[in-house]
Amino acid sequence: MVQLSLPQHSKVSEGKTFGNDGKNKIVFNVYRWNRESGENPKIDKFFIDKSKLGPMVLDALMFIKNKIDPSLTFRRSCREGICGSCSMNVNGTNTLACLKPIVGKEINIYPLPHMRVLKDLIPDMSDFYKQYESIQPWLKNKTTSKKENLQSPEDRKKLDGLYECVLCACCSTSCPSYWWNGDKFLGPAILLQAYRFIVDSRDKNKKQRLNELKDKFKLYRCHTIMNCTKTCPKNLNPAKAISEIKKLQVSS
Amino acid sequence: MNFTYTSKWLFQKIFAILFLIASFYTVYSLYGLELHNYDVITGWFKNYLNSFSVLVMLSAIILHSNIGLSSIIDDYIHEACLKRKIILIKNFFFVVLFFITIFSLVKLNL
Repeated sequence: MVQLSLPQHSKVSEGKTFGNDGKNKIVFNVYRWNRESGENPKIDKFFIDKSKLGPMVLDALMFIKNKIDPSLTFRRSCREGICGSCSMNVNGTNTLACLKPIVGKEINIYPLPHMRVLKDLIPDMSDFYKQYESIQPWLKNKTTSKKENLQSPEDRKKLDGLYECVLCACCSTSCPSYWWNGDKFLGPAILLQAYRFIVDSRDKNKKQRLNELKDKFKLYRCHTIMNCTKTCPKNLNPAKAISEIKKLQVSS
Repeated sequence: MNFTYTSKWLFQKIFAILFLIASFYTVYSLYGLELHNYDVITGWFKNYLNSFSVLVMLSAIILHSNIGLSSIIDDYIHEACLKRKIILIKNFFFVVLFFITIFSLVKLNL
């Protein structure tokens, strides 16, 4: 059966407090967990003067790491929403920390939900990447011509809203179906990528790709909850891509 | 089209539409009748079109919920043995419900 309550060793307790409350200060409640300590996860509080911070949540995390606690661990790279590294749960919503502005007096920062945590804000993405690999995310075309593989502007337009996905996993980890069946259900991010290759006019493997998804767990665990679309930091619509795959399954 | 989960997904949608159409007709044809009068209601069932609409409505509900419940079981029950048992009980329940529906409608029309 699905486990609905947190296991004992996952229960979160109060951690350290850095700085004091004051005028113009913002409190950042950050999830901390270190496997090596053997302790339960904790929430550390960081009181920081807003004037010292950049505009985004990632700026605050980098400030904490550089000036207050160098042991804080998180992924980050491009700082402009292109690499998808800094995906985390900020104030209850999965997002990219580099695209999330600091708004309000209190910011709660957790790792992506329902993923194994490696340390602090870093989730284990290996299953997610294995699922990505399973859809064979590359163009499959048997022609050996050395000519450029051209695409009409209309066909190219079909990829809009699909190719922009940065695989941050915000959508997949916000999906309750992915929480319960993450080992078998591919999740919105991977299905959006699958659809991206299905509709690509340069790919000649559409039928096989659709057949591979014809499985009650890989595709049909999507119940159109739409959390994926609501949370996507790139404003994409994975739920629509999934419904398009379902329509293609029926008509193929 | 193979009879795969795709078919189940499609049938679930079709049964939902059938249920909507049949329930609209049933409510419309019952509108204005004396619903607390037993003879009026049994008289309503004597009309084959009315009985047919109730049969379509109840069958659509049964089939739609059967597929829906299977999906919920797939979502939340992960142990294969337990899942098999629950699906067996669920199927038995829906088969019994379907035969009760048929039996009741036939009895009302005799």
